[in-house]
Amino acid sequence: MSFILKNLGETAVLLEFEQRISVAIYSQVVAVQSVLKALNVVGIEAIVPAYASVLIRYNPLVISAVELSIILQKLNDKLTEVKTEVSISQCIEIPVCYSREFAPDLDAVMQHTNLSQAELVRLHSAQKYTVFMLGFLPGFGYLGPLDSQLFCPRKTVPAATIAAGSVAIAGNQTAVYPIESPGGWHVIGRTPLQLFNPTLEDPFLLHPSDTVVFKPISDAEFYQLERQYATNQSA
Amino acid sequence: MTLTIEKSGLGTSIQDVGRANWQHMGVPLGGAADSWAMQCANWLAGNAANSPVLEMALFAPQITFSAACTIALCGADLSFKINNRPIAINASIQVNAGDILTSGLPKFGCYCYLAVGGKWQVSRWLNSTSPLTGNAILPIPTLLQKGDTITIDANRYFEAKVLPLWAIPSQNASTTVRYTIGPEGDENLHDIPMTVLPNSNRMGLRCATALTLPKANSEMISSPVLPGTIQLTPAGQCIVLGVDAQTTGGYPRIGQVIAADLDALAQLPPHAAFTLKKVDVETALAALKLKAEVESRLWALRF
Repeated sequence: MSFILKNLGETAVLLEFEQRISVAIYSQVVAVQSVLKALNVVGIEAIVPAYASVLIRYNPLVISAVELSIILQKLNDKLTEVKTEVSISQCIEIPVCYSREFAPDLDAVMQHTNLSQAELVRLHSAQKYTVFMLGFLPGFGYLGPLDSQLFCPRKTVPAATIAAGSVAIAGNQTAVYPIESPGGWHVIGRTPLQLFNPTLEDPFLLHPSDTVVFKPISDAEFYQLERQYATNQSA
Repeated sequence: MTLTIEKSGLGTSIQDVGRANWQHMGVPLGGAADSWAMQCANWLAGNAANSPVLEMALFAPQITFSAACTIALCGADLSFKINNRPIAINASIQVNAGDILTSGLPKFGCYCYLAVGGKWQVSRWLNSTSPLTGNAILPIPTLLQKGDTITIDANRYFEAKVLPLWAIPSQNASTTVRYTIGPEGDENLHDIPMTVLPNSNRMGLRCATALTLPKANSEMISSPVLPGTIQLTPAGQCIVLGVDAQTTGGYPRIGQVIAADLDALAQLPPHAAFTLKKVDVETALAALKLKAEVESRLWALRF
């Protein structure tokens, strides 16, 4: 395994791996990130992991680009010895109600994929997903890989409002909208779970490299859980 | 002391330096769009560099002060007046109880910063007062509207201060902003003439250009971006990302505005024509060093 270095200006360097969405590539991202974090290099201000790249923001007046690249090159050489399995930090179960009421794009997806609703639910909830990256919105996790039978291109015209908790798919990815937002993904269900709660010390349910499973629930269970979470929060 | 918004402005928010270490969770860096102007206002008002300030965009709100205090305005010149008398930016000003701050037509720039000397009683989320663009409901104020108030434990003393000439943020709308080639940039790129389109905001400047997409880069796997990242969309539009930009993006990053020019970039108003000037990393670094020197020189100044 290896990465190449590219500058994103004079205050950030990008570590680029083979540009492919896969758990194997992503495990390299996680390995690099955790080794770098542990090194505690003075001058590094932030480490931002993504699907197949890691961005390092640094203060070039504290550590020069050359000094940093030497550290990174050493790391790159050593990475062949590092075990490439993603150390699973936590597995999160997200209850999802796939009822039409919560799934405005269900029909479009069924038509595009030629799947029945039951097949669609089964395929979406059978997979164990990796949180590859957070982006777009605070706490918005890009999860994958999706079963190839569920592939749908992004909408050409994004929806103006997608409700918080909406579970959506696009390409080989799936995600849950943590807050209400415009968006271009196809909504196939909703979770009563809060993915973003700014009043908590850790406001984010999902973290990079977590794994996620979706558990189908009925309308009744959805409303019951929704009430339960609301009570827990006010308690 | 209470500061009251009597009439809403175009985009008024309480800003500080933002959130440096949450990008991996999808939280933008945020903070004052022109961080040097924010620092200068705080210096004049006798505050720490990263104290909260009021950011006002293009058309400032009308503000009243309930008690005497020291204020300072830096950044965009929005033709400010106190009790209808014109006042200078880049200098400390003593206001009295009941004074009214108003503004007129913008003479230069986009964002002006109002610092008030003293301790601001404002809530923070992830250690910052800066709101997020979008629908996230946070336990901190969003854009301020008519009727909103800010409580400040105002300093009782007044110190007459003027910003030294060498520290004053550029007063002329910059016509060049320097950049280095980005990860998906083409070495053949040189200076790029641009025009700021009106649908620009704190998330980014949308710019019209005559550029076309570099080869084979149209389908990218999403990867991190920063304020100042120059993205090229398939339609040939450039988006130069701002402080509230999303943390990742899928458009080719053809360049990165140098850190020393990010403040000038933010001050470009809608319809402004400017040139993105290509420089090498050494030039970018030299400019950053210069900026750091001016910064430490200002904070070492004693009156």
